[in-house]
Amino acid sequence: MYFENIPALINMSGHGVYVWSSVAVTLAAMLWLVIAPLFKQRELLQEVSRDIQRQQDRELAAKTAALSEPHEESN
Amino acid sequence: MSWLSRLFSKWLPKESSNWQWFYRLGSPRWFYQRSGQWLPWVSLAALLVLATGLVWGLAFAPEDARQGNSFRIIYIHVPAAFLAQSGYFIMAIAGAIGLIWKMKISYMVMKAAAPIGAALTFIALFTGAVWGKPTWGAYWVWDARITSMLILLFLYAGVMALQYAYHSVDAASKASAILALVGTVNIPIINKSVDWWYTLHQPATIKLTSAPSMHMDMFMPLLVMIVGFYLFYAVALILHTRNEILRRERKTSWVRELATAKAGS
Amino acid sequence: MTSHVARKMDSGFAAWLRRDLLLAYRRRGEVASPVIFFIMVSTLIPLGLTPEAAELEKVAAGMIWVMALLATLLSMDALFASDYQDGSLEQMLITPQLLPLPILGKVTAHWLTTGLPLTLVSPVLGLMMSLPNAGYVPLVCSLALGTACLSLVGAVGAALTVSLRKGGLLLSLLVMPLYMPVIIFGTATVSYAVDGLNWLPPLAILGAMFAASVALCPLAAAGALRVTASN
Repeated sequence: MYFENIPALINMSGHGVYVWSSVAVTLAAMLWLVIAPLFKQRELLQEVSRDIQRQQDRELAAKTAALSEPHEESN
Repeated sequence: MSWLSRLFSKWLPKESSNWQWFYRLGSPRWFYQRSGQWLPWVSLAALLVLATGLVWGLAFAPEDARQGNSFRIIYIHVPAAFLAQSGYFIMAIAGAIGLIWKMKISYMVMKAAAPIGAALTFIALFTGAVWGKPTWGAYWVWDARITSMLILLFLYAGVMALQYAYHSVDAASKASAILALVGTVNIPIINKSVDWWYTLHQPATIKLTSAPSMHMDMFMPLLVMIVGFYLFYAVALILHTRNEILRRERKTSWVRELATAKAGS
Repeated sequence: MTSHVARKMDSGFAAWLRRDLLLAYRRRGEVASPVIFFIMVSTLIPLGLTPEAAELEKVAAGMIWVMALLATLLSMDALFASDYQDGSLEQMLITPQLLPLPILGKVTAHWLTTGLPLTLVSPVLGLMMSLPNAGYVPLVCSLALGTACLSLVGAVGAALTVSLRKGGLLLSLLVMPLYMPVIIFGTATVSYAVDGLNWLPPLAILGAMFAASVALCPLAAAGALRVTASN
């Protein structure tokens, strides 16, 4: 290592604040670029499956209605 | 843009030749499945290379004789600035492929590339400003490189704004592809003009990133970081493109199957 | 045959130029507004900055150029908007002529009704901002070439945003970064002259930008109109 110890690495002879804040902001932005789409992907897939569910429910409701209607009429 | 297509029709790959991969690449479904297989490996490579470069650059490289340790910001500033510029060209090329070959997937890549490029431009600007404080004594100096970066950020903002302004996906894609191409023609002109303007107004100060003869021990970690940023860019681009595919293809049967499989598991 | 084609191509340019100039003549009030804007904003600068001649002359060239740019931007979204609304843009898109030529005709008319008046008024503004004597000729020359570039590049932005309801603001966002080289060399022409240097080289670069814009911008605008006008 170029520095003698860890505190020296963190301090960087006074320039540590600048270097480490740059690193922190960069890593945060890069992490966000990767994690945000992963969450978004889950959300999108859930949306699609909810759509499918809703459609199936509608179809089921239509079917039961169609089955029960003539029955009601005959009563 | 039919005249453009006609112009390039000579170079259109033939369906039956060994250009089949080119057509397959155009299929969002194929891309989605394949990229899912690549993703873990590219991510792992990006992580390893970035970690190596960062530790090497921050802890092991020698310090700069004039700028001291603040020079270590170079290991994130330069790769980010590099990718911000390349990212615009990647975006414009994707747009051009969309306009010429009418490939659906390339418009999705183009849309995905805009926010990633803008974020990298922001990183370059932020680290440049922080680096400026110990070097010039001010957070913002109208340095040629930083001014060019700021204009690049505006160019990205324009493409993104146009992308969101249209409701029709087709119009949004084509309009922003044209804008990205116009921007690409302009970027070299803008950079040269800003360089010239800077030399006109400001006599040479310490230029960030221009060590006249950079020592190998300093240069190698920078090279590693640039490679790492490229790998990272690939990961981010694939992830964003996959979402765009899901968004635009949500009515197709394969996405519906995928969603039910994911919901069941 | 070639002369026939040439006449046809010419008619696309000249017909739209004539039409737009006639329309501008009938709507003189609208045409005057960029120039009035140009003059009014320049009264704000001494009020906001300082009335001292020594201070003003330093910023005169840059300020006049920035205001000319803003005035051009202000008028830019009207380039295709009314044609889009009344349907004549559709007509232009289906004419047998090459589309870039009618567009070039429209842009020429736009420059004649905004860029040229701005250029002609600029010496008066230079006088009000105590521009040094050496700066007047370069100011007029650079504005004449530069506003032409602004109109041409702006046409691409106007074409990209023509069918959007709030296109004007977006248009300025899109083209402002593309305008930066023009303003750099425009102001440099004047400041070179004021400093007693040879101001022809920066003016020549403006000329090169103008030539490139004439060649490329109508093409890009034509491509953009085909995409946006049908949406």
